[in-house]
Amino acid sequence: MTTPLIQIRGLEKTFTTNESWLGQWRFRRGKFSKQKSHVHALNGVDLTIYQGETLCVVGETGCGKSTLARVIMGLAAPSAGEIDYLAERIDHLNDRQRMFFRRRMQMVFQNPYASLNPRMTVYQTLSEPISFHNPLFTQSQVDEKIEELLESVGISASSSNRYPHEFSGGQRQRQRISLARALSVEPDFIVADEPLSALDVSVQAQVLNLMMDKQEERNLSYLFITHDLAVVEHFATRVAVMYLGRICELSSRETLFGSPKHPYTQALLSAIPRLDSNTAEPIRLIGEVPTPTEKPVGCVFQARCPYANQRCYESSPAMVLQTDGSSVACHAIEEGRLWK
Amino acid sequence: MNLLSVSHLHVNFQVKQHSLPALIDVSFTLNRGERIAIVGESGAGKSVLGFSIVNLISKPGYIKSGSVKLDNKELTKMNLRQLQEVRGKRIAMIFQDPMMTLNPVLTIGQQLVETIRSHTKINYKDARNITIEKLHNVQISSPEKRFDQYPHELSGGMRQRVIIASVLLLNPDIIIADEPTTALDVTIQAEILQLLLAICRDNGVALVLISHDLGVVSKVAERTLVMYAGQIVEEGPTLEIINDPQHPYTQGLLNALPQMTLPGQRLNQIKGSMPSLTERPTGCAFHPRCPYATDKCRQESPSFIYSGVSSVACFMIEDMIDETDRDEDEQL
Repeated sequence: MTTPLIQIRGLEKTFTTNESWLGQWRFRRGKFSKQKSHVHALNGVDLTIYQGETLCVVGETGCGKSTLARVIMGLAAPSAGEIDYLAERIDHLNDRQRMFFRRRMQMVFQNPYASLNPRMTVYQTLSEPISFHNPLFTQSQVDEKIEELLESVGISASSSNRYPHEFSGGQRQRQRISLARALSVEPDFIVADEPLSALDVSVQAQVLNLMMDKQEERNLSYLFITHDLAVVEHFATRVAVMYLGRICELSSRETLFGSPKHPYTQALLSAIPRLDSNTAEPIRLIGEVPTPTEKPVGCVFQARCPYANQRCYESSPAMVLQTDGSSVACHAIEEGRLWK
Repeated sequence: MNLLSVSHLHVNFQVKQHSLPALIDVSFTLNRGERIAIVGESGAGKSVLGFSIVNLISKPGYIKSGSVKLDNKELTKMNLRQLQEVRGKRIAMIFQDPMMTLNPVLTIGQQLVETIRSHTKINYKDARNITIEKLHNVQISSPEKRFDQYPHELSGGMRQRVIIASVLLLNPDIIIADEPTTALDVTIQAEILQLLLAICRDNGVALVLISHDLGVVSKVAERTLVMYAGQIVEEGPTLEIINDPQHPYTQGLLNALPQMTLPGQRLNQIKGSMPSLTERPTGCAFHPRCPYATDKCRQESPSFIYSGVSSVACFMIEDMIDETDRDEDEQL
């Protein structure tokens, strides 16, 4: 818990919306002009993930959660900033140099129907990463490993020659296979990008239990990306709340759910559908998440924040450590307009 | 009199030589302005039920027997023209994914105006005014501008609002909403649910909400039906069902919610999974997953019985009620 596994400093990612050279030309008022438009998906993210913890990243669609996951995994190159894995910088490596780190970090994707190759049997799906990363393994060693993996995620080894569509359990079995594939190279860090959102409530419980068991067995660290706060409340060690490519609140689970500080966190928490009927009305946010085509000036949340003042429009708040151990980026809290 | 009454509805799917039951003896009623919810895992037959109410079941599925009555008029025997009068005008449907429901090559306005004009004789200008009014009702900002926009220009929450507006155009009596918020974020989900609730209350529209999330249901519905493997296993007032679930399956569904266990603890999962249509177990369909199953459950299927809280189809509850009856008889 005390050793930092992944350290991220000032991470930025910009996408160009018109990538091709021809697509950048516009014809307006009898003149051709060239322009590029950008989407700023990440605007300076600082984050540390410790060994053996579950860091949950929550936020609405379009806030950059998935981009964060992809950049950490090296599936997209960052525009600026650094990523360290056990104090070794990994963001600028080429494919060959990165291979060692690919073994240590794995990913589970959202939709088990799209992320498993329908033309590969479970055996093929699992044997590929194993024999790629362990070239010295003999055939029998690979078989043994696959059998052990399948048993550990609760699928009988006899079904290893089936195709994903042949499993009667549907979504549940598929997400188990995805997890088995991620575990096959024995990583110590798994990024899970909304692994539960395509699943039913009862199936969610099964997959979540499995993930918790594996964490205990192998001392895994998770970066868990979700918009479902009920799951976060159950599963997280620490929670990072993201908005428009920035982290606006970072604290331990107990602190976040006990006393949410940032106005956005408060609105998010009030929107959870609770079973008891006497909870307060949800705080309504005006408007929706804007697409950040312009690099935002000032606080990212200003357009929807009920407490925004002139300073929020002009300067961007920094993360400030609070007395109870949480960090919040908000001018209103800094100035004591809120929570004092 | 009930607005909608479904009684002993059987829906089967014809696969090669086999006729597989998807809905078995489903009965319920819906009053004017009432809001009910249908809850269950995927594969329970919730959507099939939603579709068969408006007779939208297409091959290989067919309605084997039973009746669906709207104001005492039988829907299952209507021809296409008569059904067209009911669909949209009397009973409207909202589907899960708004992007799939809206036509991507037509503007919002074109689609909504077309809906009105295909059902009523009205000129374009009036239809446009009604559309803009309805878009305004579902809290869409600057409806005149949205009218000429294409679906891809709107966000997910906005699209679902457009769908709700389109459903309202013809002032239906019943709205069937099939997982209307599953594809949306939590914050947007809360807004859409509030909107649906407000609209149903204000206009006296009855709502059938199909969902797998009991948290969502508890906010909106007055009455809940729990479905398992094509059958209704429990029916009762939503609050009673959430506070005191009777059927083991309902208990399992509730206990599986993350907020029912302490943080960091293992979640209570229901073991196994929903049987597919081809491998339906004998007796009570839930017995392979039920922690209380006995030999009787494996052989006979239970019938509906009122437990004092809700109506349940379960032998365990039946036995408990029998015992209390016997005790009372002895005392007398």
